[in-house]
Amino acid sequence: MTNPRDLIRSRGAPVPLARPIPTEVRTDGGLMINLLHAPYWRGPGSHPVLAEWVWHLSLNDLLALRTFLVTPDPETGIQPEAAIDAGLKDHGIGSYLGTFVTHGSNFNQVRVLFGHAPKSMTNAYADKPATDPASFNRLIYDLLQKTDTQASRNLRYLRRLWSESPTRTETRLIMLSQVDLASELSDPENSPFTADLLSTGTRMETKL
Amino acid sequence: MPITWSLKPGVRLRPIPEQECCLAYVPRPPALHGLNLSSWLVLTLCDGREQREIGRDYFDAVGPSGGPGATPGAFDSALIQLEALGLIERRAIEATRKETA
Repeated sequence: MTNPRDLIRSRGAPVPLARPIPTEVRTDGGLMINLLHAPYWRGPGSHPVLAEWVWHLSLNDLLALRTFLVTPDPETGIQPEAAIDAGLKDHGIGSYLGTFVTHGSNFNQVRVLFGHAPKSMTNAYADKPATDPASFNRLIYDLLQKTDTQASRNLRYLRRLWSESPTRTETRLIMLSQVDLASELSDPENSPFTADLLSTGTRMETKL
Repeated sequence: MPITWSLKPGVRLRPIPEQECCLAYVPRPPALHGLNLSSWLVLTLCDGREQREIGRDYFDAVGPSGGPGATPGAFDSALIQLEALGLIERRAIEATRKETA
């Protein structure tokens, strides 16, 4: 018996009742978003450092940002992401990996990623050249001063969105395989606390 | 004016005879509804025919077995509920003729 007519014949007809069934709401659920296609500009190249700008946007602002990213410049006909990538490469800063949005429940976090090869620097306090963590910022600043290029205009737009967000953060990621981690961490001049931990296996006790 | 009743486009049914009920899914806006045997029967009878014919079929089916679903107002009550949930739609016969003309 699989139809209601047969079931009613054997069990009788109840008072008709049709009502909504509350469905499960998953708190870890996210929007089902499909990627359209892969980016068309060149990849990050040999840049062992990633610079990341992170901030949050409402869905409406997210739609506006997406429109900005895919709309070609009326003068050049080039989409902003391609222009930014070309600008970063032309100025020897690195490359533009893309503007990403987190996929899942927190579908409001925007991340802009750049590849970068930090410059080396020497100073009075170090006898050997070291990577300059601020070189990316200085080079980006130089690029932004060139207000007549599409890359600088488009990059300034992204940076303005980042600056206006109260949740903005900025991160540098170094490629682990490209760091002589043991030497760096066991060098007392570079990092006295980790050097002590690595050489003795015990944490440095600090007397108060 | 006579009216006909039919299942709304996109509504999907999942009979669960072992539970003596049927689930109905409405895609827009997405919602899931549970129907007992009498409402399920009315829904299956809504195939574009006139309300009078559907009602006759309904009472033919429930009459012999009896129960509260066989009382005179039960059929109308079922139609009201199903329409309110967006599972069926009504159409005036005259309007239908004009559309097809």
